Amino acid sequence: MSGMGTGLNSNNPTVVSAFHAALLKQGLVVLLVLFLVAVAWNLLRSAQLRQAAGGEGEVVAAAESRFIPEPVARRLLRVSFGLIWIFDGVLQAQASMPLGMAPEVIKPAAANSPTWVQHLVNALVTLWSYHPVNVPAAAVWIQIGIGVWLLVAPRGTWSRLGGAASVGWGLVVWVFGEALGQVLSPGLTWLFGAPGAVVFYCAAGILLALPERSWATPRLGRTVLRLMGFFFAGMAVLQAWPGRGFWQGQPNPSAAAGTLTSMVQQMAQTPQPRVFSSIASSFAGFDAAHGWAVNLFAVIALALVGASFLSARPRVVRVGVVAGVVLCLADWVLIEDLGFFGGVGTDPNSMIPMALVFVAGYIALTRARGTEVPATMATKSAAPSWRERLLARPTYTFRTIAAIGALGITLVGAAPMALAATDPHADPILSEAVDGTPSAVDHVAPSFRLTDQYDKTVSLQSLRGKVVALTFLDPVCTSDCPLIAQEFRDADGILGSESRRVELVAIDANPRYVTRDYLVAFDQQERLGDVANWRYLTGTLPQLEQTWSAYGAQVSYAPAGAMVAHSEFAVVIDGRGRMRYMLDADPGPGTEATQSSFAVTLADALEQAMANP
Amino acid sequence: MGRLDQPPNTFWQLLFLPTGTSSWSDEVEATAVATNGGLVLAAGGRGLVVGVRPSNRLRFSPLIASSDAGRTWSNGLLSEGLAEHPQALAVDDTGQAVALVGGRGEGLARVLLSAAGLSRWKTLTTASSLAAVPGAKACGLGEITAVSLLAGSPVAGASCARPGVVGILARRTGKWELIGPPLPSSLHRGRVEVLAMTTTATTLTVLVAVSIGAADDLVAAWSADGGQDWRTSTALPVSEGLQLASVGQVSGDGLFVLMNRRTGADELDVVDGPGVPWTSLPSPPAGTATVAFPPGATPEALVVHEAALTVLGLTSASSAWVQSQVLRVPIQYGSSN
Repeated sequence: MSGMGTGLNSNNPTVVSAFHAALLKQGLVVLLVLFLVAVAWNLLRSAQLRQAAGGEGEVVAAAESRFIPEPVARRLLRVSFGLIWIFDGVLQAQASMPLGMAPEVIKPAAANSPTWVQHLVNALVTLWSYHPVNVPAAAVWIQIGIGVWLLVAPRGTWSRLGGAASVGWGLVVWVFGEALGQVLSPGLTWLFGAPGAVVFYCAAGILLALPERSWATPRLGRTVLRLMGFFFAGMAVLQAWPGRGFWQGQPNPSAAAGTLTSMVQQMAQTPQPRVFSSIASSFAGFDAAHGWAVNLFAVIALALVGASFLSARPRVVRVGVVAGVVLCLADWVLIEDLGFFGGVGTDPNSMIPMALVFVAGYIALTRARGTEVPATMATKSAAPSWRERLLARPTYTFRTIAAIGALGITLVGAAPMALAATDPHADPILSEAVDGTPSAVDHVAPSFRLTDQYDKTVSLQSLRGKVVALTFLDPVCTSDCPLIAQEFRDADGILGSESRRVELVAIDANPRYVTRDYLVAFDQQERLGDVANWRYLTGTLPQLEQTWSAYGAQVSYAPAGAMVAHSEFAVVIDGRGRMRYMLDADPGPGTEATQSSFAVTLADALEQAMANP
Repeated sequence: MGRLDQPPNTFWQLLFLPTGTSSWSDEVEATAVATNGGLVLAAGGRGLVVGVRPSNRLRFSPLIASSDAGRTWSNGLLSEGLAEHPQALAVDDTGQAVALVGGRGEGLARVLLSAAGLSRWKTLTTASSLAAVPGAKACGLGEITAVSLLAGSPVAGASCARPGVVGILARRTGKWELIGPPLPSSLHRGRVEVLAMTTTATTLTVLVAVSIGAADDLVAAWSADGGQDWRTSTALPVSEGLQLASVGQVSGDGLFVLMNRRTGADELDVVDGPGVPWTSLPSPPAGTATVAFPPGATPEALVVHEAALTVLGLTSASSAWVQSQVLRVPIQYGSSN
């Protein structure tokens, strides 16, 4: 779809540099946050030491010392998902993310999903495409922030809030970034990560957000394993379903490859270290030769693992967990190809998070009894208040301040993303990437005297007092000119009420089609009739040639059925008739994002000319 | 010409054979508009009108006209896009023109008549109005596929849903009437689509495709009295795998039909007029885009491969196609992207 994505090469140096510069600036803000955390820690620690010297903190410290440690299963989830979020955040900082993520990852993820899912996903594609610096940078800091949050807050409200933040951001990613994990598209398979890695991030986040007493009994572990058991059993049925291409390999090179074979062949093409591509290629070859057997193994393995989880008997579950982990690791290496290569890999895919969830479930099932919170400890009256703990217990103090710092890191990303989401216009960085920055000039604009689409004479003199955006358009152009006209129209919209001080002027740039009929037809085609300050001018060929020459516009016939070649630029002329800015008007890939971006750049130049007459 | 698998790099060309010469030329003054959407040619007594089909972001059709064999050109304009049919534009000896616009997802199909020159047009009828006229109801009028002018009166050709009825409609005394020729009884079960329609001063010539099941036949028909009486040709069966590539006039009231086959030899058939059977000419070379029948000369096959046009003449002695010219056209690849 024209309009989705930016259309720019994913390693466009202008955008990549701006992305890295934004990360650097935001990194400095993060450093400031860390500095404030250190200052706060220092102040509170000083207060603690003063209290300790006075003997006031001893009672609270003694009470704290009787608290039981964090359940192992919870700690496993918290630390591992904290590290995974940080790893994902670092992956988001790859150079290809600003321009590659939307067209290469987000959009294809929704390609086979129902239309309503595609509409949901398009919201993020548009946001990402319009703001290719702020939004990817936001994703970096939000994910690193959540990861740090989970790592530094092992207990209490801050820890549970970290879990909730993980769920919230995970849902955003799952719905808008992964097209609901592609669960509504054909070809859904456990082998390739259904129902999406982020579902397990959310699952872990939900578990972390539960009250601590939930971890005190085996009930939570049993519930997790049952859910995973149903999930594995369902995936086994799906995997066994005939007619989905999983039972076939590729009997010979000319035959159509089975679903799994072609998936792995595709993965092997991802840019990555040779050792991983050769592993994926080897497995693709193996599956091509033994497609039926591979699928039979997958179906049986999934079914057995699912059945063992559903049994909820620790010994049986232990075997299932070991088998499940081995299966997940094998799938991660052989089929998912580790998931994060290629420059736009956003996470290590689903197998590791999935394995962590069911391993945590197993630990919660088998080790919960030893960690039960004594009733006397769990009562509010027995526990010191947060203020008392903050002033009395160094570890609690540190963790609380660190968690607030982590929230600060998350906000470093979330705030610009929220701002970007409210801005319907694309970032000017896109037009800069296509055309460079507008050149400031200062000389008298050449005069002209031509006729507009309404048969009225228009001269530069007659436009004095208004700021003029002027360009040259071919009325029968099939590619760029309609886009440039729309960019002018969009710039007019951005200016709002200020547009009454502006005239948008285009001069016919086709030596054959110079009659007014063509200007009217072009205006109808581009719905410019309702733009009050739009003037499309023409004249006799000599008049036009003189104007082209005066402004340095090159116009020439092209042979063999090609359209007329002409310069694509725009000039901004102030109310005194002086040229103030010159803009390259090449619309580049002509997507909605670049069109909107050029409009913002043009509107900025017009505002500058109005502000500094 | 160009890269025919890439619409933005496929450029339709205006080529001409100057009078008194045997070499084709592309030295036509530039159309000054991209021709990726196709060209529709209409010839009349006063010269040639070329309509440029919309493409990419262009939604209307520029027209250019020449009355001096392409030396100078004037402009016209259709504020809507010419329909996607090779016979969507026609012009008569007086310079009056008729055009078919819209259809196929580009708005309601309409038949327009030039009001003054080639820049002012008035709507004569629409597809839905035409379908409501009594005769057209009997035909089950489908898509309008061709327009023409016969002695100043507009004529439209269309497909008919009802078997055995030919959808030729003419406007007489302000009303449209179905005047389509009757088909031979052997084809009464077939659904008919008008493929081509040409007129000379007095004669209306049409070519129709008749489909019965999977089998197709082509039938030409002529009327010299404005559609009162018709004479038809024998049916030309279209072999399986053949696809119509080009239709045109030969000298007098004759027609040629070029059919391409995906694999194997193409087929070129000619019918010289009413009552004369179809004649198969030697298979033209692979890649033949169209065939020209210059007056007083042997037929020439125009073979296109990317930017090269190869002209091959049919020798009367050996009945073989012999290369006579290779013309390289300076295509501007990428200019329409």
